[in-house]
Amino acid sequence: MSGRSRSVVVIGVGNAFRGDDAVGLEVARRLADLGRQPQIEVRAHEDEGLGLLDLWDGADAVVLVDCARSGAAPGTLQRIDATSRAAPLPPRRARGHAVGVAEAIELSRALETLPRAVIAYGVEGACFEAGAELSEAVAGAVALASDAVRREALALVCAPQPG
Amino acid sequence: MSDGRASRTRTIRTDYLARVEGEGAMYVELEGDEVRDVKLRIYEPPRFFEALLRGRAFTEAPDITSRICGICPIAYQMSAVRAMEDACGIAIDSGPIRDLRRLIYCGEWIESHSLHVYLLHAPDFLGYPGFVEMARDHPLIAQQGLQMKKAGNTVMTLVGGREIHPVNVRVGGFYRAPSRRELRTLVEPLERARDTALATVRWAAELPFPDARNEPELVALDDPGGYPIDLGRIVSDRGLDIAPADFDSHVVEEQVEHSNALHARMRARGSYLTGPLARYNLAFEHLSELAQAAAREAGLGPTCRNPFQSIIVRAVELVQACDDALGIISGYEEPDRPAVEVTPRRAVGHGATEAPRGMLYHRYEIDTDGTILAATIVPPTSQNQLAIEADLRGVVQRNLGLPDEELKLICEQAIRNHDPCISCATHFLEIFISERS
Repeated sequence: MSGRSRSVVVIGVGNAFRGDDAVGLEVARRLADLGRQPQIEVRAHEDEGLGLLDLWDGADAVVLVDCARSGAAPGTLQRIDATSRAAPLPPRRARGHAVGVAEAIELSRALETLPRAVIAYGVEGACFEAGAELSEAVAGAVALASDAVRREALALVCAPQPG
Repeated sequence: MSDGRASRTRTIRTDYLARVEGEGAMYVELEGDEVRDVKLRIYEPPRFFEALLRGRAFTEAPDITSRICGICPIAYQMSAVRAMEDACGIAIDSGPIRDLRRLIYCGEWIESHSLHVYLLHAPDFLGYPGFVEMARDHPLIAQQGLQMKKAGNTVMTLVGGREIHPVNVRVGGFYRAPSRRELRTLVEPLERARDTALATVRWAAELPFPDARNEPELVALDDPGGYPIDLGRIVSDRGLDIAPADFDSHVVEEQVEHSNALHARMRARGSYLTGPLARYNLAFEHLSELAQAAAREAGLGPTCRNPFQSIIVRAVELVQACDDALGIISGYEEPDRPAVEVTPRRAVGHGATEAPRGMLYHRYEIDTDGTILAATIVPPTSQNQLAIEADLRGVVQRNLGLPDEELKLICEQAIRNHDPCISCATHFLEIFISERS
């Protein structure tokens, strides 16, 4: 079905009250205008991971943006393609929910409900204190992350469908 | 002991307990055949919600406290509104506002119990390390869990405005009451969820259950009109029968070195258990006919003291919650106003409701203008910690012959029997098993 536009859902994941864990939500907020494009939906998702399966249900592609804790320098942006292999994401998130983003992706893969493209962006966090603002390094990375997610979503909309 | 075990110390530990809400650990230390130490360690940092509430308006408590937990925000909202209304001399014990409160609470029970039964607890019984591995071999179980959870979320979204941290709940009632027509849209998903719940009771009854029996004091609310959810006196199987206002004089909270959560104990009696097992044993006769029949068909009588069978009890409570919700929808009459007026006064108020994993108590002292002067929140997992540790001790004692890895798994399962919510308890769990030589 090459040439037809695809439906893409962009999901910013995070916790508004745990410092840098809010970065995914902030990116989703900045990309609100992207949701006015046909075929693109932008969502912010707080709390437990299973709800993600509903958000990407029926979509052709999903772009996730979340706070990462990999040991990289704070503010570092990483892109992970989880389309055909398990995402090397931490098994659980800083916020401690029983189901995290990685488990949600793998559960969806096991149930064969995963979109045909799954891209995750991680912004390395530094501070997860309750009530804290974004750290300087992470706040400084929001624009870069937003631009990268925007380009990814637009490219996915235009990408030819796999036969 | 001639085999030398008496002098050998074993340590069984899990540093990061999976499939629970929040961050905690388990530590068990054995010397020979003697269990020397059992700790459910809650290391998630405290979140100081009680301090944060001081100086805020009494009307803000439901929305602030709902942030304590993403799994049971309604429980926090409901205990908060009842406590504030109690302080202000109001009790909403019947009528459409109470019905809507019970309905949204049923949604939360369905959402929380289905997550635990199908995705967090089932892998223990089917021999999988997690639900992803289980879902590859048993997709239907995971799909049923997701379908049930979605039905619960649908109820919460319709009545509460959104599924997580609902925004429609206020002291005195709701900001907006749904119409009869809106509620009728919930009938079809709830009927499907009830059918799935009935099938789940039959499925759970066939699981392998380790032999276990616990004897803590069982504590639950007593609602003369139905199964305990949103109101009632606090009763136990050992004669406790008190108003929520007397909770403080019967329950003491203590700091312990190994946990960031306070340990609650019944003054002069010790550990006690709240949650599905307590509710089931104390209020079996208030279950709907359908839920009672499902329990009997599953081989449960009016009492169940094996915590491993809590998965069946949760499934029975899923039937109950669906049935209850459908009954409320069937009889719903839109209220003239979505909320009653609540005028603050200088007073102390108490609220106790049944979160999916157990009783949740709130106490607030407010000033004449409604400013919160003091707040105390006692979540179910704080109340259950001592009973869970006692359970662990019994499980270890009965399974001393198991290799460390198997012993660790059954200990973890014993903890998950109680669906602890560590996020709530610190307003947060790790597992360690130790053998000392």
